[in-house]
Amino acid sequence: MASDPNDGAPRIDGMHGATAQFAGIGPESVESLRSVSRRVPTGSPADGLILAIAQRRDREAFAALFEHFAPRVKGYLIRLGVPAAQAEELAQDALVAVWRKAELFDPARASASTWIFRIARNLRLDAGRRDRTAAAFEPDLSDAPDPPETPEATALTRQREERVRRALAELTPDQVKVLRLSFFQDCPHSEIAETLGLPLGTVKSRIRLALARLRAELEGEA
Amino acid sequence: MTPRHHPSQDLIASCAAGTLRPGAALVVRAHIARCPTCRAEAGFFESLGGALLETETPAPMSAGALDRALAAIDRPAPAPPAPARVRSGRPALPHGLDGVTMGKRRWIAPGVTVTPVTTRHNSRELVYLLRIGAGMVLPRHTHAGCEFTCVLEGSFSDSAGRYDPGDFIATDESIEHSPVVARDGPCVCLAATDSPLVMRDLVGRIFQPLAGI
Repeated sequence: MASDPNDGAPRIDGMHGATAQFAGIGPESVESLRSVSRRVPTGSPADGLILAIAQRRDREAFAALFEHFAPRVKGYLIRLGVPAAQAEELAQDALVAVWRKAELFDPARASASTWIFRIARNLRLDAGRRDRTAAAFEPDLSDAPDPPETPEATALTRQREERVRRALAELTPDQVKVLRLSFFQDCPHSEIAETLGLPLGTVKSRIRLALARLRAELEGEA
Repeated sequence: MTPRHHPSQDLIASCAAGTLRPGAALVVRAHIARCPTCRAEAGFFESLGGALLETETPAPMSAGALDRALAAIDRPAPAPPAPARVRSGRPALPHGLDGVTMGKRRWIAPGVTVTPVTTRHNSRELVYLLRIGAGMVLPRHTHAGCEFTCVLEGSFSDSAGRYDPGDFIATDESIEHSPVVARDGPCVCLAATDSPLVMRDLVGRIFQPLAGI
């Protein structure tokens, strides 16, 4: 049913180093990205782009962010079985929502990609609503300030982001593929086994192993 | 006090991924709002979602997509919808659940009311607030389909333990219990079920003793 644009090798190549993450966009955009991230020192270039939008409605920053994330959001939605035309529209809405909600972005709590993932996820859930356009811009759960956390908890949040990223980069392509199917598509393990032509036991152990590695990295044991 | 009864890791993962049915997700979020442990767990899965999005294979946008987006950001944002009217006497919903619409409270039995909750998503689930008076005992019953419950106010106990605000309970046909509400106040729970039979089931289980069966 859902086409799998990730057949072949899942992309884990772009995980090392901030610039490499943006390998999908042109040199000019990368350059503007670099300059933005120099101006706004923070965790990742994409974080800086959102902050630039929040602080001075920076259209160049928006363009760079769009070029990088819109095709990924579209790919993610197509993976979930959303028809390509609607996936394109939702990806547009998601990035426009990023522009409108940029002031609510707090890089201490979430990285740009996690924040955009939440926006895209919620938009997809809202796609059945009649007032979908309004839904794209009204405050939702992901905007609500979290209940106050201790400074330690906030620091841990940011560390967790980095570590999940690092750990994911170290998984084998096969592990990432299985994880992606199980997480995004909520495929029953038996279905994943069928799709990939693998024994059920192999799929189960891959998912278990992948999650265990992520957790080990998270607890600083890896 | 932090909750002692938690959703499974799978439930938290599918809630974070956005693949859980909306009513069930509402109940899981009611728990997460009160539980630092599960909040961190959900945060982990959202970080994973972000990292997987980052490494997602890009699907090229059509020509002119960026120009259309640049035009869209120049237009004023649509006005947000008016906030849902708050009915008097409605129990306070936990953080993050204020987007739901509450229906009319229905009297089920002395001391027992049910308020249907409408999530903003299309779903065939039944989501409701169940309010049971202090000290009441529900007759022994089982559950049609898969039902998730989160205690919002007060507390109740059954043979498996005591459930306080924030505690999460998953039940299905295999669980048979007879909950007892604590004497010091009414108990309000948020529940979601995938079974359309639940209301009849619920009325049945409350009226059973009254009808003398």
